[in-house]
Amino acid sequence: MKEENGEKGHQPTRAFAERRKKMGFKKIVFALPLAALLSLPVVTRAEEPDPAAQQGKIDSLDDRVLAVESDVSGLKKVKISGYVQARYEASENSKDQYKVDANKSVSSYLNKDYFYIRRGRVKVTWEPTSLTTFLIQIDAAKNTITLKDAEGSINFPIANKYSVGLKMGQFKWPFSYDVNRSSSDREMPERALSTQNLMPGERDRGVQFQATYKGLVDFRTGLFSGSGIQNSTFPVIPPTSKPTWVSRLALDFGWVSLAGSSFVGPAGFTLPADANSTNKILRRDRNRFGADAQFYYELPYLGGGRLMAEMISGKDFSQSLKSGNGGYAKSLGFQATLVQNFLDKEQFAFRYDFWDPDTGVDYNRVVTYGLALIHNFDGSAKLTLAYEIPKNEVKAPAKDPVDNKTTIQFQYKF
Amino acid sequence: MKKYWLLIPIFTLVTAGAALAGKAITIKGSDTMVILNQRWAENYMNNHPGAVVQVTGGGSGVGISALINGTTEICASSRTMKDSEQKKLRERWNILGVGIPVAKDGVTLFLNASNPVSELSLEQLKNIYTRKVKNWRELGGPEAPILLYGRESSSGTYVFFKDTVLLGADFAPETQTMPGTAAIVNAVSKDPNGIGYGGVAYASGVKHLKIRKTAGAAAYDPIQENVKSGVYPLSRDLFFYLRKTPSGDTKKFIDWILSPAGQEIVTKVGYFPVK
Repeated sequence: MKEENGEKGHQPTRAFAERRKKMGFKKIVFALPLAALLSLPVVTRAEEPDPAAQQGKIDSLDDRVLAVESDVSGLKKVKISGYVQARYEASENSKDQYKVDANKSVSSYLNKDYFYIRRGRVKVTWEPTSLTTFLIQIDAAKNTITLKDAEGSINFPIANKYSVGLKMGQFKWPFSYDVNRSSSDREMPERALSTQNLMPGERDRGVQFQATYKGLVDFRTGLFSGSGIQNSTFPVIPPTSKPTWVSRLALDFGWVSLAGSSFVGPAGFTLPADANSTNKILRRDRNRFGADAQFYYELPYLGGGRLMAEMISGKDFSQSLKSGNGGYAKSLGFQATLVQNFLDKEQFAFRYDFWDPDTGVDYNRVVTYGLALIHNFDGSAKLTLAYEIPKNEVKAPAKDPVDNKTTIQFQYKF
Repeated sequence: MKKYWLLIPIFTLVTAGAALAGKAITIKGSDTMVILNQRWAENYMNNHPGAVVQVTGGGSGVGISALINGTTEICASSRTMKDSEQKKLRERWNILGVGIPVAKDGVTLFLNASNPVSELSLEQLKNIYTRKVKNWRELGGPEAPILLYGRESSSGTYVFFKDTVLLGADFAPETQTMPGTAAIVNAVSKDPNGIGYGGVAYASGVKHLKIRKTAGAAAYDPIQENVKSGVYPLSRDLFFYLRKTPSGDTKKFIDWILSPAGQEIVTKVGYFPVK
């Protein structure tokens, strides 16, 4: 077989010879320089290398490496991070709407068992210098895309101990621990009721000054629109005429952290049109004060744990109070959370969450007990199983509604 | 709730499966300590059948990130953790980290064997690495430019040097970044005008400098006596960091490292025992 192939290689058949003839002169014209090129390396190898040419090549390579290094160092200044929280929620007061009698109102029988994406965050951080940072964060969840953070900040370290900085844009209010803690770190599925009601959206547009001392003292104060990011329109009261000041002073001793926060500013209400078809603006005071503490400890064999406690009080004007004449409601919220590590990557959490939307009114308080089991697969993936028991204060003969909720959440962080 | 009680055994199964998946003791971090960690791991596994110790380098910064992310049980670090890193660890694991000194080191300044300069003060080193001093002539050496070699920012030795010698100032952009102390030593051994820094265990084929704390103070060699007493100005501890006080197999391993047998390996590698 081998010999046969060899013969065919050296003695082409007639048909093959005819095809080769048809290739014509043009192919030979291309073939000649190709053969010359192929023979070149053989000639070069035989020659002595030219040191100047070699040095030139090294210099050129050096320049290219420097250019690549410069590009890579530029790219290292941009960081993309984020997380996704995929959830299944099941409530005891959920009903299968499909099975509801057609004669009954569907609105009172809602399905509350579902899969959904609670948070889909993407954050891009750019640090062009060691002093400046630009950040933008969006949330793509529940079929909508919203801008969460968009800020530019400048920070000046002083003698390796102090730092002062300025931030402007849209970012979290410097108020309370619960507001400023990332949802990706929190053990319970949602923030406490007081935070959800008094600081909705957790963010606002404004400018903030920050000063720190050795990681021990952190003071932040800022001037904000006051309306929060859930209010897409501009506030009716300009921040310069009656500003909303939000401040937080935190002391961190390592095993214990303590902080106090304040939020003081007006809220504007558009009144119905008067006889001259003019909508006047009613300006009323609004404030929140808060205090929080975190205590960290370690138990033998189990590992680290923490006890967090936070209290927030609020004062808001409502036009519907006092038979429609308007009045102030004072609200109060308190939460305490115990988190304990166990095994290597497991955590257990218990939260007590008290919320009274109007301390002057009875039968409106809610206490929610929350339990959570967390398993951290690695640095990126986390599985949470949470069970929440809300206890609503009701006047007899009414009963506390059956509305306990189970949440299974898988979180992936990148 | 009754139908959801089933979720607890499912959750337990998932987490137990994940927990059983990895039984090895993992050490990640400092390149300065990587050879030491490997020697410890080899000796420990030879003397403790069934024990598995996995070692990877990458730099102290990489090890600390892995500790925070939960991807390593032990972080080897040639520097102390920063406040910001402790806060990240605390936020994630409710603990500031347990730091255990496992060896001592003197960060050593390497020069080419042909360089006549033999001792410098911390201030002179700062001036060299910030390019205030650019020629060996200014330090009593030959008429030649000083060529700087250093480590990447993820290196614990980089951070230690920046904090202790440069007092927080930035390294001169001319500093050539090398991937490890061995690479620095190799570069300096071939470069008559070079200067580099790194762990004392790597000081082979190059000469080292005596260091003065201040201009008029006595100069010290990075030897055991001076490093243990702390008179050598660039003395430091080498650490293991954990997310909790060690227990079980990890405790046995660390107890062995701190025992005479483990500390003997420290000396063999070229560092100094912690006790």
